[in-house]
Amino acid sequence: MFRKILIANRGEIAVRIMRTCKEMGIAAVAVHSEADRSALHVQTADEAIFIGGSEPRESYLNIEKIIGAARACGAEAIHPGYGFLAENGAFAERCEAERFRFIGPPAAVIRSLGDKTTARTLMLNSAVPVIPGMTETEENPDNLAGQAREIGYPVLLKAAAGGGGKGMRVVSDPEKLKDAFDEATSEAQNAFGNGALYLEKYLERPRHVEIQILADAHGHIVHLCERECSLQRRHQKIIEESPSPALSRALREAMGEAAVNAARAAGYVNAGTVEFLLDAQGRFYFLEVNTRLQVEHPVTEMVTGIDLVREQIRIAAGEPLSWRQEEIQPRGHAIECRIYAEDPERGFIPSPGEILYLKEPAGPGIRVDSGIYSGFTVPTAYDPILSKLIVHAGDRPGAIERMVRALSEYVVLGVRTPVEFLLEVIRSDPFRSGETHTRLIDERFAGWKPSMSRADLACLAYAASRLSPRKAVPSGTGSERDHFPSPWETLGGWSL
Amino acid sequence: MEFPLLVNKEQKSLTIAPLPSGEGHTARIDGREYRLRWLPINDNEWLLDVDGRPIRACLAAREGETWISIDGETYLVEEPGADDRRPRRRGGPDDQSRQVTPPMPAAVIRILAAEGDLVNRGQSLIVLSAMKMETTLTAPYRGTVKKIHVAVGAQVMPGEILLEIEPAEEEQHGV
Repeated sequence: MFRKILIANRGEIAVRIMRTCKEMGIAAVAVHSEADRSALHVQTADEAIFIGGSEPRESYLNIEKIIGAARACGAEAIHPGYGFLAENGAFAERCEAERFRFIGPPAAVIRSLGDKTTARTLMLNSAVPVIPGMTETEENPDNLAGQAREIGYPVLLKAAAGGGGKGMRVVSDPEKLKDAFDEATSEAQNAFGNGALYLEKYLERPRHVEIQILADAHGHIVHLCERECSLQRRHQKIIEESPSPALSRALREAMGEAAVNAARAAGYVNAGTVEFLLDAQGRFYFLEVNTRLQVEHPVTEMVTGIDLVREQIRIAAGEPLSWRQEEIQPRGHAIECRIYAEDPERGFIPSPGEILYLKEPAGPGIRVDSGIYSGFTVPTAYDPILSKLIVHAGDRPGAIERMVRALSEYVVLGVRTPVEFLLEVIRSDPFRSGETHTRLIDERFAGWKPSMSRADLACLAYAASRLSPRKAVPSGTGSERDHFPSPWETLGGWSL
Repeated sequence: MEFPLLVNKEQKSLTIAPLPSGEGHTARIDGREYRLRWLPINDNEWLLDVDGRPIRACLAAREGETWISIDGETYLVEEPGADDRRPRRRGGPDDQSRQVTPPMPAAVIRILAAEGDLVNRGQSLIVLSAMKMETTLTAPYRGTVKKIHVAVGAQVMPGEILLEIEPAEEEQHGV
């Protein structure tokens, strides 16, 4: 086993990886930028190395600086976390060339799965369902009609040179295909100078369901069931759960098997995630493989009891998987809410700044993976994720109630967060009934405003602080502090 | 005692007076009456007793704004005129609308106008980047760019004036 690992990341994920390193008796080395001199991951590490400016390309994205740090501290392996260099084939290759073990899949696997068409072809050849569609463009609308019938309506007309929704039309009615073709082709011609179109199956309100897999270097592959990640805003996940309310046992097994096949086809080693879109009829289609630890990995850890980071490290060290497929039995239900520094009232724009006060929820079945503390200034240079709140309970209704309680306890002052927005989503009927799909937040919660239901109480709290002496706690000597009474012993001292 | 408050920019009128019995205060907010007692727990936490109901509130203040969290809901409370030392935008609302300022701390990545340019309402002027997200600041009205205060690469804060626009003749009459 490794004695020292360098974590080439920052924030909550770096802290989370270091925690497992500590439990395994492995020294964890942090790297940090100018903006992160006093970041939590620097405080948590056994050793911290400054690697450069706040701009990611000067530090966390800088391969030379990270390799230099790994050499300087004598690390044997590098964990890339998620984001930054986690899915960069060149980085993985460089690590191996420099004789640092990269904690992730081989560089060649990262490369082939990173290319969408290569991945799609790979899956097509290994009996993994892929979204039906054409592989070549068509200029004659009459020929297109035949293709559309074959794929099945509704279909999505897409510009070959497309982007930004231009030259794109959803067609549900065969009669309207010709008109849609004419519109889309002229739009594409104007936008890209190329009117060529192709067809793909259009999925209405699909669910986003992904399968966690683990593969060792000895050819064993298992899946750790699914995560449902349908709730997204700005095309980014915000609430995830496991198991998915949409999966039957049979569907879970079928998707798990498809994911294992996909991993085998790709020659996968280490932890990975196979993402699928699931339609209302229970048909699933391969989307992509994420060749790294996912942000939402804790929900899988909660229901399976498996520490994914520990497994990643063990696999990288060449150890075999600890379980066979039939030994992996999920228990209960887990939900994760991502806490970003962002303003849900203003289209979720980032809200960096100083955390004036932080109080995290606690109690049974609660886990907080956090990268912040009271007094920390959230830098503008990075992704605005502050923490992840994960709950685990015996069943889904229990997990929902637990999440409501945990969110109600969560206090972050000084930057905007979506805590109240998340409370409303978690409490909503569509969420409670498990009717989650990728368009739900946009359709049901557009233009969200806080309820202001405790505005009067906020006024009263303000008045209390205004009318009280500035310093509430007596700043006495040590011996006086020892005898500082609990609030309940001082009930007689309630302010008058 | 009377406090005119802004709670999430909404006006609230709060009056508070000690009860004659000495057993706490009575507070009125926009016509609603509460009996209030409180106990400070530490610098940021307060235990309120509102009509006999215990309420835990967390508070933290910065530059005239007090952040208050109760049961997962966060409020920004301001007391206009309470603290004259706090930084304020100079000039009236008229003046303010001639300036372009960022909504969040950010870095300037592109400047799309030059001093002396005539710009139309809604025209893109400055592109900012914060936390991997780009935001484009646009002209609030038609006019001439009088002064650009920043350069590409600069770190800017809300309230900081990045660019000033002299309104076009017809706009001045319109406002």
